Amino acid sequence: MTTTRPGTVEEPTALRCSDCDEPIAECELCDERACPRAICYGCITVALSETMAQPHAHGG
Amino acid sequence: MGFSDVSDYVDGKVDWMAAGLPTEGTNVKRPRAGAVARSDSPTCRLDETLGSVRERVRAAGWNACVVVNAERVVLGLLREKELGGDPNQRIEQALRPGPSTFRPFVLVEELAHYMAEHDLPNAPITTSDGRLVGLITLEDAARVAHETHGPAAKS
Repeated sequence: MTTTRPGTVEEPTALRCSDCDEPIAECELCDERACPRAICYGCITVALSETMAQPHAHGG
Repeated sequence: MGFSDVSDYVDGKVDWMAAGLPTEGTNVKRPRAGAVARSDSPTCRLDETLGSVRERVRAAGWNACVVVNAERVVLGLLREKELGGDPNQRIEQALRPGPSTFRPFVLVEELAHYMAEHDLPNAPITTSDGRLVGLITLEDAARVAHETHGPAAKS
């Protein structure tokens, strides 16, 4: 951590998703903060095809 | 239309697949995480002690244990690091809470790729309401993914 001005402390550089560059708390796949290929929930669900379009609840 | 026995699965097709239920179609032969996950993987409860759980897990030949409640909903995970902790510790203090889980319909080849990339030794597979289907190991996922794309898979 680095002090920017008296009384305030800057948080360490946030982890970022390796796909979309969004800041994340930890890698959604391995739950590690130090993951070199950290990925966010959105990107991993898309990558693993978990966000398929929902079919109609009722056909027709 | 000639159908005599018709059911309406209200929660939808994706939920049906997420529960690991059988499907049809062009992708049906591609192995899914739910089929490769081991349903006999060890589980434990929050009120157990780490020492007794570790003994049971090791005896079963595993290095991970899924923490579940009475409804088999996943609460946490004990991997090698957590299992090596103080044997008198209660599981609720030792567990890795809220682990990332994956649905049974995820393609094994995709999951294996990401597990290898992230050095993830195992991952819980759950239904969409969080119930444990089983634990998939990187070893199993990589083997099945290799078989799918290997020479034997082309015949």
